[in-house]
Amino acid sequence: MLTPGFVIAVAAFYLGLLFALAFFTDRLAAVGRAGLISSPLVYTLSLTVYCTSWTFFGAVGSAARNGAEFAAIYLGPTLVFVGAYFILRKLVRISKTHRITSIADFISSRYGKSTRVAVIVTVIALAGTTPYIALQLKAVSTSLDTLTLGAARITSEAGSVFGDTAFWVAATMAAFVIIFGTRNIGADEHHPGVVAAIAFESLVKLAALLAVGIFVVFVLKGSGEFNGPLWLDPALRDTPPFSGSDPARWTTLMLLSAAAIICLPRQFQVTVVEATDERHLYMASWLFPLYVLLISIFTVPIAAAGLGLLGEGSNPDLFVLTVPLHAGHEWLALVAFLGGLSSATSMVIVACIAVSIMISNHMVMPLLLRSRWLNLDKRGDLTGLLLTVRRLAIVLILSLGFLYYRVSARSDALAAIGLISFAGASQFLPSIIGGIYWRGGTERGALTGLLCGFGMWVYTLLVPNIVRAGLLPADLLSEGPFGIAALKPESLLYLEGWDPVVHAIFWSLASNMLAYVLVSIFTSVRPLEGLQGALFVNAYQRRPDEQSRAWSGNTALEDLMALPRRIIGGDRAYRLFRDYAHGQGRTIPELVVDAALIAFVERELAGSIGAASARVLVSRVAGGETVSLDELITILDETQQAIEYGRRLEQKSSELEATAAQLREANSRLKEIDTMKDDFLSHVSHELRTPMTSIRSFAEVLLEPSALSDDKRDRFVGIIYEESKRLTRLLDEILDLNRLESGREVLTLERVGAARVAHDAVAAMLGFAHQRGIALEERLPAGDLAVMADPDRLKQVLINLIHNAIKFTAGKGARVVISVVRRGDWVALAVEDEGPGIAPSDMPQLFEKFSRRSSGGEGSGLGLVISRQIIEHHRGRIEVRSRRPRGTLFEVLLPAAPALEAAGPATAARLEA
Amino acid sequence: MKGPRIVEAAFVLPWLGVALLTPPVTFIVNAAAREAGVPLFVPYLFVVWALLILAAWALSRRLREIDRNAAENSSAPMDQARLDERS
Repeated sequence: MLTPGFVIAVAAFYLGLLFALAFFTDRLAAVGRAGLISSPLVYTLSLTVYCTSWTFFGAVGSAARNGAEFAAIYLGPTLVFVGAYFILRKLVRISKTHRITSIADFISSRYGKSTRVAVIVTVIALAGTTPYIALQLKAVSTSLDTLTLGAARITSEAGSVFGDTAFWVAATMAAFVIIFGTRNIGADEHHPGVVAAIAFESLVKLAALLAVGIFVVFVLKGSGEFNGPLWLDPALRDTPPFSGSDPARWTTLMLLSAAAIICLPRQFQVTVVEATDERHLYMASWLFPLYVLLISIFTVPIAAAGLGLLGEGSNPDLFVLTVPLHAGHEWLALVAFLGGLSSATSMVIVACIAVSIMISNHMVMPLLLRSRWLNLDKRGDLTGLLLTVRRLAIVLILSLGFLYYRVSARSDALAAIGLISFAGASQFLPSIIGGIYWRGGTERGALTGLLCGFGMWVYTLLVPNIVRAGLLPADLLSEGPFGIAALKPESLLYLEGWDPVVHAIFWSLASNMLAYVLVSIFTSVRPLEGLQGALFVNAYQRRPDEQSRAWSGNTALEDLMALPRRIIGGDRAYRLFRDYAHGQGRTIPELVVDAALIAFVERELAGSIGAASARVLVSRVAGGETVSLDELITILDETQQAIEYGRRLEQKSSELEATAAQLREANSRLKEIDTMKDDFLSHVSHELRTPMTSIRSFAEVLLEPSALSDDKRDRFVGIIYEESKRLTRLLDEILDLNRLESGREVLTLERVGAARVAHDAVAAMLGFAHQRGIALEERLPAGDLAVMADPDRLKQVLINLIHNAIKFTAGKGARVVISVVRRGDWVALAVEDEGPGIAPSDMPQLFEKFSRRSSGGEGSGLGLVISRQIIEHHRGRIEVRSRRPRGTLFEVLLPAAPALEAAGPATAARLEA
Repeated sequence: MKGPRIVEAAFVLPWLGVALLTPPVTFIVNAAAREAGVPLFVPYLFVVWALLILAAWALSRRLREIDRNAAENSSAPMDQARLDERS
């Protein structure tokens, strides 16, 4: 029997070897000489962290209990790796492009960098990993006890925590992970020392298992009547190791293990995050399946030999150890122990790193950054804080694992933990596969799916396990919660008689997928989700060498400046940075890219392209984000084009609108004019008709052969003559107006004296006035006032005004006053009567065609219109002032002609000066 | 086999493995084992397993070549991408 001291010394020596290996690898990597570490061989070996102590010892146990089932755990991953060219390559490609740091980061990045998704993934990962770590601790301590004491002690006998082997194992692991897993914060979380140690351990565990297997197959002979190899004893022919497997469980386990090789946090860490080159997958696609084939090739012989050698009653989970031990080969047993130790430690190390990164990046840091009183977003360097958080997270994870182990070690609940953990991790599968092949998956879909799957997993698998560990009342399983049989965790909705794992996988994955797909379909894709979805789904559309980009402080500033230039234009961007630099008392080249500058740029950009896009843009340039610069430029250019196009459209449409408004205006004007024309025509025909009618009727009377006195005949002829004169005058006036309005009539303006023209007009009207008994009174200035006018036309206007004045002034002895005065630059010719005045209601129509003042009976109604036309052609105006009940004043205002005498010398003076 | 055919074969291989390693094919193997009275199931698994590894090894060499050529020709490996959308 090996002494405990000796075994512990060997184990310590082995772990020391791991420390040294990791240490020197890190040293070599730091100077860039760890070429072997970035080889595909080491990459593939590190993937075998999949083979934990659960599989190292447990595969044989599984074969001894359930037959071929052990192989399903390896065949699922084999199929995934044989098809590595598809899913795995895409995952690695995306993760390299987007600098993914963990599986939580991957899923949350895909769904619009959602913090909520990252948190739920981290919680699931922690819930699935902790019991699994407990399982590893149990495996190590049990195997150690078996090796040294010949039987496994149960924890209560182990006494205090410090007397517990598992405690020291956990403490050593914590030290290892803290030293090599949290040395620094890399942009992409590479840990060369850890990878080297894991690769080395994978060789140790394979060698150990092969050694035991070869011993069983070639050395161990039957002792009874059968003297061939023990495992081929016909008596064992009907034992489980040689049987097939339950088909439902077999298929479920294949699916589960295929999902686990992608989704287990530690597996994602080594396969995707730690990958240095996606071409390593070419070798991994066949070497990893070959490794797991080799590690399981002796499983059946060892299981059969164990059954033959130790009998049914022994613990098949320790056959790997107990078979050589029982056969008297203690050294071989020691090798097997070291193999188991390797499997356990490598799993614990990688799982701790993976989950601690998630806890620090997605749970602790967002909280710390958000809390005001810490003011972390203003502090420059957060690296130290981040590392401390990770170290604490590692201690927490291992403490939880140890606690779970202490609590449940007495029961056999831990044996089932392996599959429970797989089932927990497989809840990530719908979100991942949907995320990289379906652009329609949304954050809320992923969140709902994950929560449903997680809830189902906890209820149907984890809760029963906790019950078996003795932490919850047992009647929960047998009676259901509150005695509701339909809710029994292991036969939900009366799904009786199913294997618990198959049952749980059905409920959790079905609800997960259904929720993910349905909620995604019924929610809209937000911009950032859409962008990330497109980048993830179309991951192959860019070339790998274009994505990697080395930053220096200098290029970062340039890139940061290039962004606004693209969006808001060169000049504005330049001014923006100049003003910002001014505010800091620097020039632009002296600017330092710090959080403040980045926030400033993002804020400025958000005004142009929206906050979400600005965030993506700036965070990419600022480093460690998901979209490459080239891509962004493309997006930007597209946005720019869209904006430009939109602006042009807007311009076009406003132009169109203006044109339409003009057209509408012109159209209504046309209609108005058309109506006016119709009115005019009907007026004209009415005006023409009245004299025509009287002419015709008098002519008819004259034509009748009746006896008319000559006196009467003469009077009738006289009327006909007067009426035709009026007709002619009307037609003349219409023609006149037409000429004036159409602008065909060109007035010849000359320098005339206003008083002279007024005097002529008065002279012309003297007869008519006398006839009406009206006195015409002239008030003319002494020296004449010169205006530029057509004298005949001006006289015509005055005659018309005087005629009207006489006409509307009733009663004999009344006066009409004609005056000419100068008013500033204007010369006013006024005609004032003593008539009844004009009613205010008549004023607006005064200058319209055919509008006669209500009191007036005759006249064409065109006189004032023509007058106004004429005066307007003189650039003058006519004003009316009516003082009811007596008197109306018409005033013609004409611009005064420049003084003749003054013009000459003034011009001369100007010329001389 | 030409380039696109290799990619298609690589796509088919894991699904062929799935078909060979799940019911109903495993039922047939189990039934045959019962008839013969020999525990055939586990050896069958290992044979399929080994053949899958062999095929993956052969394919990975070709795929590596295809990708290297594609990188040199700097034309995007559209066939993979398209096939990838289907998987």
